[in-house]
Amino acid sequence: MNLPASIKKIISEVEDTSGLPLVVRDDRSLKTLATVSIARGQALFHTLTYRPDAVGVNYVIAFQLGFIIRNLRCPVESRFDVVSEPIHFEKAVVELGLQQFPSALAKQLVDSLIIQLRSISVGDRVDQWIIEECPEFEDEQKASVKSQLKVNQQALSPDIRKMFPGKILNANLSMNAAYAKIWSSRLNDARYGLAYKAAGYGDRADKLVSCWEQISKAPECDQDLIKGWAKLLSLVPYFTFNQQSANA
Amino acid sequence: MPEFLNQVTLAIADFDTELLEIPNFEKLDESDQVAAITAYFENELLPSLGSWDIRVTTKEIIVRWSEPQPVGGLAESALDSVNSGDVRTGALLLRLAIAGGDRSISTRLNLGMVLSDLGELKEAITILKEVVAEASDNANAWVAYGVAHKRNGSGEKAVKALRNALSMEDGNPYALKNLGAVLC
Repeated sequence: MNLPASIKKIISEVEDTSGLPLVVRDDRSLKTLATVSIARGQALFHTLTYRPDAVGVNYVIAFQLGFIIRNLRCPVESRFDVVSEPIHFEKAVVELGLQQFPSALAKQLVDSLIIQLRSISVGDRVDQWIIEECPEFEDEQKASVKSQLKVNQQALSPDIRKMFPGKILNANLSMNAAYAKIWSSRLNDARYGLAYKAAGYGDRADKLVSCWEQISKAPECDQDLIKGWAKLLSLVPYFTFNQQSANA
Repeated sequence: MPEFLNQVTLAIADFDTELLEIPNFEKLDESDQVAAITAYFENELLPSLGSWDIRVTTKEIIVRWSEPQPVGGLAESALDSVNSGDVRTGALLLRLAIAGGDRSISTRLNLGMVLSDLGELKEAITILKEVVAEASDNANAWVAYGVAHKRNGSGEKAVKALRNALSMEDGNPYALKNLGAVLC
């Protein structure tokens, strides 16, 4: 796919700031919309892989690049990964009620929850950056977010809800509720947020949104944002922050 | 302030809340319910109507709009929705057309059939009963009325309506097919 100039400009910022090349490739078999990997250790380049048939594909790419830029705008000592190590996983299995699940599935559920914790909380900072600095992606951003909101909303169905332990489900739906609430306002469509309010997640969404508003938007405060959300979601014991090694 | 050439008032009870895709909609308080219905109209229906204005209360939905979409065009839009598989939106557009003064047999017949497809059988039967009373020579109306009764478990009424359809149009394939299904 031929990337538009506005995407190439963001890629240049990533490459110039980090001093390392960024390899972009499409992959129709990707299970998520896009993934990004920041160069570190022996890796000599960053990689971004995206699904070319994703709704709002340029926004999807910009969103992933936004995470790298946000990371690079932090002082080196403030760059971190959010990881769930074996000790956290063992605790999560017991405390989140995952004993009845096969270990691989339980691990996937915990990892997904921790990824979601970062991708939604910090992701909204990236979305704000796109709104403010990349307005050319506005239509694609709205289309992609609407599509994501509809996918997220499927988890409200009783059939899906009874498949997962309550604590996992509550954390997942609370984060989705906050995302829906903030985008309800931006899209001027109350239905998205109200779907979660009707399911009993209105107060939790309000608290998470309030956390977004109270913590500084500076990239170096992202750790505080994640901590704030984790506290509200009772996820503090299940992950840690690891400082990133060079190169990035 | 734009000039609004069309106005439709729909009773809130006639709005199909399934269109909102909000599980447990009934658990929302009234102001949130009104906000959700308003958002549905503002985002799904009204943008195609030119300049518009909407007021939703706990009792009714009042929509005013300018051309280009006249009230009469709502029934056509409804059929587009139904043909694309969006039956619920089709039903809403037909209701709006009727509320806006379109009392034609075809619009009411289509609403009766759509409601029958959605399983709203009591209302479908009420509407179709009116339609066959006013257009007693309309074989398709009798078929729709018979099918609604069949779905409602009223075999005798279904047979009578479907036989009426055949007396209006000998060999009507839909009447024959449904009559066969009821009798077998």
